[in-house]
Amino acid sequence: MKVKVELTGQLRAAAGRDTIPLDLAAGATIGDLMTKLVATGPPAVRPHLATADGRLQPTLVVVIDGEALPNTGHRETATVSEGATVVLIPPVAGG
Amino acid sequence: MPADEPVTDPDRGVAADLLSAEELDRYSWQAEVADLGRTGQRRLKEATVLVSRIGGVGGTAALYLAAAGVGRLVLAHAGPIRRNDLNRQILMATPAIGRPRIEVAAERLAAVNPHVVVETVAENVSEANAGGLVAGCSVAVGAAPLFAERLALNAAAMRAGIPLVDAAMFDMEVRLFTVMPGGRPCLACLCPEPPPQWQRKFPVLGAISGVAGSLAAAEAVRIIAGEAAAGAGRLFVLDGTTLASRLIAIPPRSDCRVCGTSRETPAGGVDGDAARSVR
Repeated sequence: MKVKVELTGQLRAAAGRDTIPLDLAAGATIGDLMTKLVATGPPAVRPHLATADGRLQPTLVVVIDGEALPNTGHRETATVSEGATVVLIPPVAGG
Repeated sequence: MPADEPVTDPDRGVAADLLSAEELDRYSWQAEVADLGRTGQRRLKEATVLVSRIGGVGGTAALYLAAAGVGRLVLAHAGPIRRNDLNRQILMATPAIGRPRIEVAAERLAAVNPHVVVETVAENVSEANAGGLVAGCSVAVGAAPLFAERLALNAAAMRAGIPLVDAAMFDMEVRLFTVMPGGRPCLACLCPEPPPQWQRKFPVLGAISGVAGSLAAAEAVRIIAGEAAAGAGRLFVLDGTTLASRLIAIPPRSDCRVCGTSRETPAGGVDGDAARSVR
């Protein structure tokens, strides 16, 4: 299934682009999406997406079709639907 | 009557207005703004706003808060002006390179609006001084380039029961997030810990940090005037390359260490006072 990933902040800078179209298996999760982005994107995107032990960054805001996922520690299991837009928002503190 | 004497309010029949004729004239254009008006202007005059760092974002916020007539500004920022500050730190000036930022900022703000009392603190916000800095303030504006400072201010503002307007930027992107007293989520729900991947030196165009600071000032003014905070619990993201914007409701974290059920009791010293100078 086709999913559109939109990148912001440092993640966008690390990827060198603001949008990445992804082809994921039906029933894919945010964890699957993260794994694919890490595997196919430039190495610089990894620290913005995943912790050293491979978990989703706790500071990353994940928005699916306009709704932010509750940051409960179980976001990796949230499923993504065909045609969804996933926005990834790392925190920034430029002042 | 001298221009700087308070004006008698004809509706009350007493000299109840805090604003002098000179001030009423100074603010006459913004008195037409529906969210402000005469009552809002009086509230601004009575308000104290803490601005954490007066760089590209906080300096712009402080400039517009002063111009709008906030009665008292508390500016917290350590260190002297450097040449490479000047692309964005709009309160600073080339002849002042090497001088303390807060000293130069206070002079600049006094020139913009002599009715504003400016308190300067030659320290950055920390867990040790945040409680003392927010004491007596109506609103806090977070604009520091380090998450530890922003999170310390968030925790102190939550404890003190005052609104926090957190403004930030990166590259061509602007962010705004507001935390209201007793409300959730707070900044620690959005960013529970300083992200290790954040780089202290970040790409910044002064015009973009200025937008972030201007929005923070507008949000603070509206809150002080009694209007609903536009960014309360919602993360505003503006892309300066496309002018596309997002406003995203942030779910509170039940395990938030600041506003959640597992909130921490502040450690000793969090309400320590910081040395303030009044100008």
